[in-house]
Amino acid sequence: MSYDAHFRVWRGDDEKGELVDYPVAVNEGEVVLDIIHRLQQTQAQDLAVRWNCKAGKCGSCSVEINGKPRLACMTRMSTFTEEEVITVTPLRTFPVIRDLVTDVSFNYTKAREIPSFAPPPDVEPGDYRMQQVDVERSQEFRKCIECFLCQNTCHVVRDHEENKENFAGPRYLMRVAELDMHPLDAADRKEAAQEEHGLGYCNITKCCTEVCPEHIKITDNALIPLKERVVDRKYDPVVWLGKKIFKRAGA
Amino acid sequence: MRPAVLIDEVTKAQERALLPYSSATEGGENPFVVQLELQKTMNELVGIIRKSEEMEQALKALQEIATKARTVTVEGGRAFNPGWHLALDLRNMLLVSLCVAKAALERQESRGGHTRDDFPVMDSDWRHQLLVLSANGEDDVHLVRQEQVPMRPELLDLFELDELKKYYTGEELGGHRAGEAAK
Repeated sequence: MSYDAHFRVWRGDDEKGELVDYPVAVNEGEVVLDIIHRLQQTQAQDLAVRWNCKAGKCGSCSVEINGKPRLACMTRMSTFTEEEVITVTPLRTFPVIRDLVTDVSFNYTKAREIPSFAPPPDVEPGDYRMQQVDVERSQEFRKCIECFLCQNTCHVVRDHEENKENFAGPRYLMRVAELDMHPLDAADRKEAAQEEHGLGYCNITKCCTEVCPEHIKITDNALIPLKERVVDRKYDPVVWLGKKIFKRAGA
Repeated sequence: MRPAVLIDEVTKAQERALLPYSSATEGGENPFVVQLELQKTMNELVGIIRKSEEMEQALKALQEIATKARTVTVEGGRAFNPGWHLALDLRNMLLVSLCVAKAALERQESRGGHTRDDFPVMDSDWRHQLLVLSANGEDDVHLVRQEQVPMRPELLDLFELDELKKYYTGEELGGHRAGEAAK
């Protein structure tokens, strides 16, 4: 059940690069990462690729396979025909370090910009009480493995370097939504989501949901509800009128 | 006080790390080939069910692999080069393999994940024997037997005697509360 596949892998560094063609053996049951490793062993010793668990749980081996953002370890070779040319390129949104390895520090910067979980000041640690049903909603977002495929595919930053400063990306807007839905989080996340993390840039094309290897419904369950909460505050005519009349601060 | 950096050591480590790039290893082994050979050796000869002949054979094979590992050569630059990283890791892989093989050969019993075809049962006399291995250069390990520190009597008393008898030898059970009560 072995055959020779035609791989086309992007080789290069932060300055220049090109697609290089490789004929490479494929055995039954293998995934794209196995083939990349075979390339390293047999033809391209210095082919750089970031990987760890080979089980789709560490989120390290994010690459673009035939233009689609995928985890290399979870993309089965059996999903391609034997004649198909398989093109593997690095994530386009982030700067290339070498070959398939990109510098994803944009994501870490964005992660640090979100204030962490903030319980009400009068609740001591150990006195946190909440109902299971209230936390269930945000549990889905905890499945995130931080592979950054959603951050990579999001058109707001994919081809718009200038938006990177003002937009946190789906993964981190989801984080804001998660904290906002948390029954014990007392911080106001709604204004920050819109003003600081750029929620308004998102126009719910659901590309992030489509590429998520954990099948988190990022758009439907995190971003849209967060948008609704923001709108509820920001554009509610009654709240607006109330603010005008009573000069209520902070509403 | 912060310990001072030993410049000589740093230079030495640097030179060692860059060895796969130097001309001294021209025409040397491909690190991936050596790794595959190491994996195959350990999997086949020091695998799940172990035999002394096989492990002796493995130790011999490891010596050969060590010679090859010393002359690995890498291509490409220094930035994110998996071939070079593997060349650096190979030393540690080799040392760990040597430790596993040597200790497995020495331990003439079956215990936990260590299963010997030629010594299929657990031996209480081996329970308190530790096999301590330390690196002796890059491709040799030194084995020392060391006595396990005995369990403190008050902790030993927390377990039932019948349970302890499965693992402990008579001597070690001397201080158990059940033994004292019988006196």
